[in-house]
Amino acid sequence: MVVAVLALIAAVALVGPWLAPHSPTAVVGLPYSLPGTVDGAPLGTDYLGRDVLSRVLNGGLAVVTTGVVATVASSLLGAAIGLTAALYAPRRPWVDGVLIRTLDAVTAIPPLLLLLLIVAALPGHLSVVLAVVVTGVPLTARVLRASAASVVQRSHVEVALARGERLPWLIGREVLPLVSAPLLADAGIRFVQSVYAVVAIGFLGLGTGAADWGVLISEAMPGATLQPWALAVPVLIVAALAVATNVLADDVGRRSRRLLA
Amino acid sequence: MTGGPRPDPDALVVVDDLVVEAGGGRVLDRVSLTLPAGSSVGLVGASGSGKTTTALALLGHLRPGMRHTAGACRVDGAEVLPDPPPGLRGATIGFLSQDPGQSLNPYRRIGAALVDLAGRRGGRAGDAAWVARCLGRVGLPDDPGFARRFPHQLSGGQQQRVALALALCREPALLVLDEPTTGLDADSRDEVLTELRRVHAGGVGLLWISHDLGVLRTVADRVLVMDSGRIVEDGPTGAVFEQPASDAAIRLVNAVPPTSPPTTPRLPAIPTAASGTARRPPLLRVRDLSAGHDRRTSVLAGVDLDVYPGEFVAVLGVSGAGKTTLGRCIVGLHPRVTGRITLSGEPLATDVRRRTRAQRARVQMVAQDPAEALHPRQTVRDALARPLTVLRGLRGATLDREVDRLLTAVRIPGYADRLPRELSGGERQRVALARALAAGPHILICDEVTSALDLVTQAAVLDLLAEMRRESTLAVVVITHDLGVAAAADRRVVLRDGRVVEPGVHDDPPALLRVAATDGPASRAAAPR
Repeated sequence: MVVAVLALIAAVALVGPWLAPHSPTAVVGLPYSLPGTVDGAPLGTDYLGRDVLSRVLNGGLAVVTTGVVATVASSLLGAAIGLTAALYAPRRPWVDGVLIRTLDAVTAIPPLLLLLLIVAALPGHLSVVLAVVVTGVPLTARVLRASAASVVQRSHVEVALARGERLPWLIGREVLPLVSAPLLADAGIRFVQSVYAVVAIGFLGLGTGAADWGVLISEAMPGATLQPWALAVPVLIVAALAVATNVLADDVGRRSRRLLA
Repeated sequence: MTGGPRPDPDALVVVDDLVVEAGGGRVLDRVSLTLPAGSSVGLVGASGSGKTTTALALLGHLRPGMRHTAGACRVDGAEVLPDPPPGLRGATIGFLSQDPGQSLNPYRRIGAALVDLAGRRGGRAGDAAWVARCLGRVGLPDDPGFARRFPHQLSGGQQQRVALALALCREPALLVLDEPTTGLDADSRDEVLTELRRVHAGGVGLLWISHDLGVLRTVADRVLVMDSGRIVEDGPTGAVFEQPASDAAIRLVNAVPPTSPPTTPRLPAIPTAASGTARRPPLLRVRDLSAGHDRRTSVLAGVDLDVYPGEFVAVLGVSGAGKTTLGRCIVGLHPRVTGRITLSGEPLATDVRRRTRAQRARVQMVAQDPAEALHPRQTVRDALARPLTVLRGLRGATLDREVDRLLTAVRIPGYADRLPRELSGGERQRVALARALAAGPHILICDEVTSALDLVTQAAVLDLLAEMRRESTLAVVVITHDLGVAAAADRRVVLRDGRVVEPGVHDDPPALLRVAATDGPASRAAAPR
């Protein structure tokens, strides 16, 4: 069920631009037409008379790809930092201290402020990814450091240390497989946060100018009483994406925990 | 003796030719047993013989990786495998595990935990009275203040009695007890046993899994002996213990508890090369070794230790004396160390990462807890192949041959493709030992390698160590609480408060006993790793 919802949203986002009946910028009827009043615009039109369905189908690609790229980047970097800190904590406490205090300093800045700062300074899609990574890495690193605290005390890790294994092996082979459950659960949260960040940037009009779901929501707000569908459809999609991702992450986390038992 | 009991229609539990497989092998091999209501039955056997699997099968539970392939398990006339009928667990069969801490939620007050588990909807006043009855029944104070305590505010014996109250709160007809007294000190053990006898007198059937034959002798009417997944003996307690018929039962009854104080002059033990090698240069020389956890706390203060080639040295001491730290310092895992360590005359860095590959290979360790010794997702082959590759540079067919040779040496041939969860505690410890031997060490540090194992397995692991030493000049340093293990050593070193206590004095048994007297079973259970 959850997987079906996610697959549907992914399909809308990824192949939507090729399925859209109209160009997202073409005017197809009178502004604020309700569904069923304009031929070929099953969800009606927006404040300029553009097809809502076509705009929704075109607005997801940037949101989903930016979200996925940002999640993968922030999970990998966060895991690397968190597990390095955990591995060093018992032996070289200062390494752990430097890493964690630095991340704490980043966490102390409100994430939205940081997000706006980075997006304002560096325009383009990559700045959104960078902004999400900078706000997400400290949280992921914290979660993984805490999860790994007991794993690094296990004797197979100590034996690997005594064998002279290097950091990449220790992290990748000895520790990471035992903290994959929290990592996956955290990646789910990180993905939802990334999607929210992209939508928020679009909503605030700070994005690249392309009409993503955030832009659609902000444009439909003033006329919400005249044409509620232009607002409801993108809002519901973003909400469904967030809920489904969280449920899936919980489920994956539970499953891999059971595998380890 | 393997005929199995005749099916009895009135029996509470009937297990009929039950087969459970894992990783291609049979964990339970046509197990049949019948438990009449209200009986008290002991289930004994070496680790890995299938005791816990049998007990969990009665609850309709198989550990991950295990498959039920044939036979049946019926409780109260209902099939419990693969899916137990609702209410079986708790209401028909209660389960009490070895570690009381595991059955209690650390964040839940014990009274609330009882109410949760019973699923009561009786209102507050009724609940309070019911909780008091539950606690009173297992000999705990029944005042409301006690019910509001958290598990960490209770002693080990009290925790185990709360766990017993939880197991009993839904009035089960049978209690399955998995080593209910192993982790407890002598006083708490007696308290728990008294409660269990009282529960049994009240008509509840008991199935005891235990290594402690002394306890079973006093509480069980009947004893089942398991070996390699089969029930090999089934009879009245007295008969099985006095005249064991099967090999497995004979081994169990005759296993001399290594924990029993050596009454006969077992010390000084095996005279070996060590006594004659005193003038040879030591293999390992530790001088003025000090270590701490931070600037303020000191764990070791100026320890000197010499170990000669082929020698078997026991390091004794109470919990917190610095035994484990000494082992970790020698391996190079402890931060904040000062002092000198030399191996065959070559100075060793205190940090393992500054040692050469050859130096790392020569010093190996085996740690205490078999549960954490192996990577849960790595097969035995992977665990052994890595040190062979990294430390000895083996590849391909040579590597496979060496893995097979090591597994044969630790007497678990053919286990290469198993995962740790398919191994018993003793088997895991053998893999950990094989992994250490894979490096081709000159000295092996064993930290409490036997304390988590049952007596038969302990004896087997110690035999294995002795055999390894006979075949090479491998020196072994065993860190232990256990006088029986220490008795088998060539030489004993006693640590107290981070210092070596006058070497030599403790080679006489009474003095050793005095040192160990401060280290009873209670501190043993609570010992940090």
